[in-house]
Amino acid sequence: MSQLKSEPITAPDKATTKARAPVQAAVSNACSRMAPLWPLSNFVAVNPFIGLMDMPFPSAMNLVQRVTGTPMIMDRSYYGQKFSAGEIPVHCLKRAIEIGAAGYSGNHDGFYKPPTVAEMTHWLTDTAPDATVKAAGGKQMPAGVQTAADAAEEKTGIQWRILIVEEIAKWCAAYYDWGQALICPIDRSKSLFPAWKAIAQTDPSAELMGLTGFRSLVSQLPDAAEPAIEYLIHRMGIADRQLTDYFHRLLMDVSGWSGHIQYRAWQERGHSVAPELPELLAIRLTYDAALALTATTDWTLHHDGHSVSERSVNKSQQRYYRIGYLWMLAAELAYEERTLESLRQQMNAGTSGPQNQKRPSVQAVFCIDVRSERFRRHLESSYPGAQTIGFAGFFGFPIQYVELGQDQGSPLCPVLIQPPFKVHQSLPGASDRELLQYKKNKAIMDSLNDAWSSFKSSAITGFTFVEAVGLAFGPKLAADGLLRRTPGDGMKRQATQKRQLAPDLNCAEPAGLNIDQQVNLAAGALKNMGLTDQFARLVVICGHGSDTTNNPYGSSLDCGACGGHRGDINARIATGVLNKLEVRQALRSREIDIPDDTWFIAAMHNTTTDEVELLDTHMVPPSHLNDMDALAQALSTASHRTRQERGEALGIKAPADMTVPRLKALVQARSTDWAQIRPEWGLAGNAAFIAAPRRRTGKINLNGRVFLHDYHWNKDPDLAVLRLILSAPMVVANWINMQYFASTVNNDVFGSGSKLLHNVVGTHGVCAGNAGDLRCGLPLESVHDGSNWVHEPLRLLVIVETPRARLDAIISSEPTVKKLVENQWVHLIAMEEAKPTFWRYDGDGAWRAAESC
Amino acid sequence: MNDITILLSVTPLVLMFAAGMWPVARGGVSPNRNAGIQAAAWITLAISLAAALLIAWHGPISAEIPLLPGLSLPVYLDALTAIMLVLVSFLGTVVVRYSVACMAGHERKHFFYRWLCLTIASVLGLLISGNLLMFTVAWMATSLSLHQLLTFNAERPGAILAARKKFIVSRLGDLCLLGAMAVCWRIFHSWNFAVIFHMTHAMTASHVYPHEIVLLDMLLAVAACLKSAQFPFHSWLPDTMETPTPVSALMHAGIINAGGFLIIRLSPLLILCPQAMAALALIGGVTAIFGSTVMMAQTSIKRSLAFSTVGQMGFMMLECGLGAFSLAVLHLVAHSLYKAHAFLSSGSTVGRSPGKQQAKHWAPVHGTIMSRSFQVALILIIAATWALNQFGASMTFLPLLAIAIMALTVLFSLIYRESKAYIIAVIGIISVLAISTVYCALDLGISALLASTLPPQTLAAMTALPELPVLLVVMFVAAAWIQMQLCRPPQSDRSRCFYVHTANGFYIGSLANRMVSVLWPLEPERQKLESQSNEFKESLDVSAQI
Repeated sequence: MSQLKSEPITAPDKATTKARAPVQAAVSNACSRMAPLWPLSNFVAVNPFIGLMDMPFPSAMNLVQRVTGTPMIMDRSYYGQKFSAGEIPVHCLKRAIEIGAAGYSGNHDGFYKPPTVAEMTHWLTDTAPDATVKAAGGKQMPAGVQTAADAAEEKTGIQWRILIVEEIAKWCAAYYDWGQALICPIDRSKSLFPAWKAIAQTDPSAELMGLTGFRSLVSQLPDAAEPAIEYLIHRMGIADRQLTDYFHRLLMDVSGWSGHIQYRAWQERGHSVAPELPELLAIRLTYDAALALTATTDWTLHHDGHSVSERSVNKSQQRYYRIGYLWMLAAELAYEERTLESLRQQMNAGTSGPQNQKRPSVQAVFCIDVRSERFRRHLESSYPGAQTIGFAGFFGFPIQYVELGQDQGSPLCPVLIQPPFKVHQSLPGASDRELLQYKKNKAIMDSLNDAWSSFKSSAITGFTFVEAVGLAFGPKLAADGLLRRTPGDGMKRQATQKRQLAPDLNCAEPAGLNIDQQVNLAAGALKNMGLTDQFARLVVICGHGSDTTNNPYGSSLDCGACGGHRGDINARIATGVLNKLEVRQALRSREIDIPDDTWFIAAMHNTTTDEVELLDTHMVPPSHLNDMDALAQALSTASHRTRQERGEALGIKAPADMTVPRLKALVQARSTDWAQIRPEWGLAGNAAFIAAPRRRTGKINLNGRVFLHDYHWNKDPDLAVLRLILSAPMVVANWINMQYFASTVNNDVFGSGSKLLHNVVGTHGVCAGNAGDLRCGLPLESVHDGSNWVHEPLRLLVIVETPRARLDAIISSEPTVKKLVENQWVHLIAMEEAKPTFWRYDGDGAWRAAESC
Repeated sequence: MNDITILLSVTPLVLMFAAGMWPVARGGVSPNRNAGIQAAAWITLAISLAAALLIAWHGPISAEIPLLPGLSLPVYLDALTAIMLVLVSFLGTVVVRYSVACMAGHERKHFFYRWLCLTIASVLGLLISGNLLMFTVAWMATSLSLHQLLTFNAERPGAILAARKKFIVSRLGDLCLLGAMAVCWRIFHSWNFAVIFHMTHAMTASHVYPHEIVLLDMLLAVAACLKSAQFPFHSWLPDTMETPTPVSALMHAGIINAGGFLIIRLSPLLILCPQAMAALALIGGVTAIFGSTVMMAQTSIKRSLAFSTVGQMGFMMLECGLGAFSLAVLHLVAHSLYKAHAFLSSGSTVGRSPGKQQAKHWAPVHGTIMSRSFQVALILIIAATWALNQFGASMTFLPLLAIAIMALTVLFSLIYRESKAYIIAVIGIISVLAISTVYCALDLGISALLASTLPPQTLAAMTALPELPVLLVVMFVAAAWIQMQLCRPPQSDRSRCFYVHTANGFYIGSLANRMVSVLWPLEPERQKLESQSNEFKESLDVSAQI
């Protein structure tokens, strides 16, 4: 801030000093609206509207539509098809209109008049506008907030927005490069804005594009971002009250890099706004100012007449969006109705589920991930007496895992948690000398690999490399390209496992897990998963991960609860701890009595191929080998049945008639094919979150669309477990749900477009094609199969089996839960034993019996 | 036997052409087409292999295949054709299979497959061409079919701009080639390669050349440079990432080589003009240095690979200019395989954490080792120059030898920098020796393979520019030194400017973009979209009134 005074350009002026506070407020408001974007190495799902959670969902969508000028609703034809197929019955439409009106009048302009059913259906038939929006790439609707770049584009036909974003992205990519480029012109010892400023005074690119006088404008700027913003706003003469949306719009132009900056801040200190985000805003604003200040743009005219944010968002457009939203609400109600109906039937059929007094033959704990649902159902049907449990896939062990020979670990837990414990990888049974030797060998191998890849990619060596070694890529190309058997990332990791590397649970380091902490974590995990008695002889703890190749988005298919990593390490740590005699003894004093004949075994569910591999099998005691064989048999049957269920969606014809090896080969081929852009469907289709005992859902085919968390409310007198479920796993599910939602309804802005064009930037993100902003969200191919949407955009339906009053208590005491529920980011249903069974939360503490609508 | 060889050599072209032209059923649903084009690609590969063996066995064949009365297809088949035929059909098969997997479900996949097959067919046609006319037709067909693939995502302004840049450069290249055809006819009264080669042999023997040969060779050299993305006409190449990945692979591994192939195919003609050879060597040298330097600053994998291609194409032209045609063929083949793999697997370049990879590069963190290795390289280069001079050997290889020496010393210091253990030094020496041995063996092998096809290595360019080898060595040594300095953060504001200019590719792309968008504005499309969006706004109003 002190630099500001030394700048002659901001002579003390009443207008500037007065403007200061509102400008700063607008900057921080706009910045707080931007969501973080995780790097490709652990691409965790994020709710892209995380900064708008204080608003009700419809208002947030209106804001996004206004700011970006792109619709946050599906095409008309999408709902048209659903309506004519009878998936959205008329009574749900009516209910949607009713609920929509109730939720709307409170927080919106008075002009809203609920549409009629006839108006809703008429909206569907008029398909012309969709085609237009599509032809225009969804971007040609006038943005509610017009930047100078938009105005200049309208006037000159030069695509200023794209050019500017490419320029900014160019320097952001250099500044935040993880190691693609060998040259770094930008000074990383300075923070973003001053570093950029130094470069931008040299770089004539903007002027070559026709942005005359850009470098001299840059040289006039103060060195710090916020004074620069104030200076520019002052020169552009924009009124204060329009600033937040304008800044938001500018940041949305570079939402990918904004997200990366927010992610960095998240890594360092948690949720607060990244200090570098205003700096990015200042950069973007400089380009806009340069355009606004050129005589030809004539930008001020546009916003003098109207307020910036209200320009061209007329009533008819709002109504158009509104009806689209109501159609989604109707689809949500229809899904809710179907789901509740099947739950009701299951309940009426009595508690014939796996919950009976007999000891289960095997217990298997799976991640709540929607992909587990299918597998659990098939495992239960292939192994009589098997009981499955759903729990967050890090199994309550929030750790940082440090691989052998590395200094830094990666967090294997939900990103909401800072991992308090460090676990090291080690070679079990190895002496210190052997370990040292191993580390030394690994370091030598790594440095040889590095030397080789530098030889390949460095400038002057490249020529000799190509002539001497290039021919060797012939066989490689034949193996990858003709046989298409590229080992996937998961396979490579498995290969390291073969070398008997295992998490070390006896580490004496202070940050490590000592025995007391192991007992605490074990007790917490068992209590939270509701597994405190009736232990089976074999308890499987099954993490999950994907196995794809040549897929920048591979980690988006891994376990979100493990921070975008595979879940096998957590499963191995959990079983390692739970099999320890000391731990079991200590647990007995906490009233958790694990019988001596219970053995915990780790497993890994490969969600791409649906194979489940049992891990650390060499440690299984001989007494349990028979149980393990029976289990392995049942697992492979369940794998086959799950693949049969998934086959059709993967484009395999008649999977139900296929033999086990044939179907397995077909599915596996996808995971090793380097050209495959749809190796599996990930969490596409996710729609509900059910926290209830498994017997409530056990026999129902939920189509892999539901997060299943086990919850027994009568074992949770002090609400501690419920509080945890609603404030952590439910939030994670909401993030995933919103990521899929946004990537489906508006892939241009909140998704990352087609994988065919993806170009990995700085080794941590992608841009589409030549250059441009980092893309956030999911690729189009993750939600669309080429002709149809595979994901159905619905807000998460949360069903909790517990008396309503208990939910009220949590809503009123947990701000995160309150925001999610009150602001309609999720639909909340309470499930009670007495009739009526289902209660829908209507906001403000009101519940309404949810009988069929 | 010749007939069979000829038949087999033409079949791949016919097959891929048929696969491309195969009608798509109405509504775009042709379930068997995927299998069809994959089968076509596999058969193409098999037949090309057979044809290559036969060609290698029977030596050069020149023939005309009668198609219609008065129209025949001239083919010229020699070892070069054989190598290229196998390479292109192999890459074609890989790319077709890749495309069938990654385009599955795409609404315009049949359009894509069609032009992909036709592009491959055009390249195959280029390879077997027996005269300059057919060569030119195939050359233009390649470019025009590729244009369809480059504009596959027509809604992306970047795709259109890059395709137009390429379109303009390619048409200039076509003009040069057409001009060359005219001059060629004037000199030889024939376009037939066999005839031309026969006459050039006579000219070489008698040292009597018609003076038009300079014009002809210059036109050919310019055409090749335009086609193979030589500086300063390279900027379309890094900008063509707005199209699906397999197209990039095909382009960088196959089509971009067309310029080099032109030069190598017509090498007996080119060596008659030392000026053209010297020009090629210099343009190639500049492009190699330019491409490899700008590559170092690219932050995205595909653009980094693209600038690497620019540099490698420059290096290939440099080899051509030096008369090392067989090495140029080795380079062409090896680079194609390497680059196709690099593009198709470009999705695998995901880093684990910031900084982890940064350390990998040969930034002179270990400054002394790097500068010492540089000194060693210099001494070796001077020694090599002296030795070549002393023993009266051809200076052809001096620049190439110098580059190899620098590369190998860098490799040694890369290996040795991390740990100075004894074992590491041994590994370093072994790798350097192994790579030199492989390099020499490959060089000898490819020379032997192509001995009957290509003119003997004579440094024709030196007659035009005697200082050429030394000049090139100085250029590359200087470039290597600069590149080494660039790997460390800028030391002053002035040096920072140079870094910025490097990262921007010295603004040649920006200037070209500006020129193209002025010459050929995107305006009409934009207005079209705008009018559509106005309609949309109106329809919104209408729907609201109802």
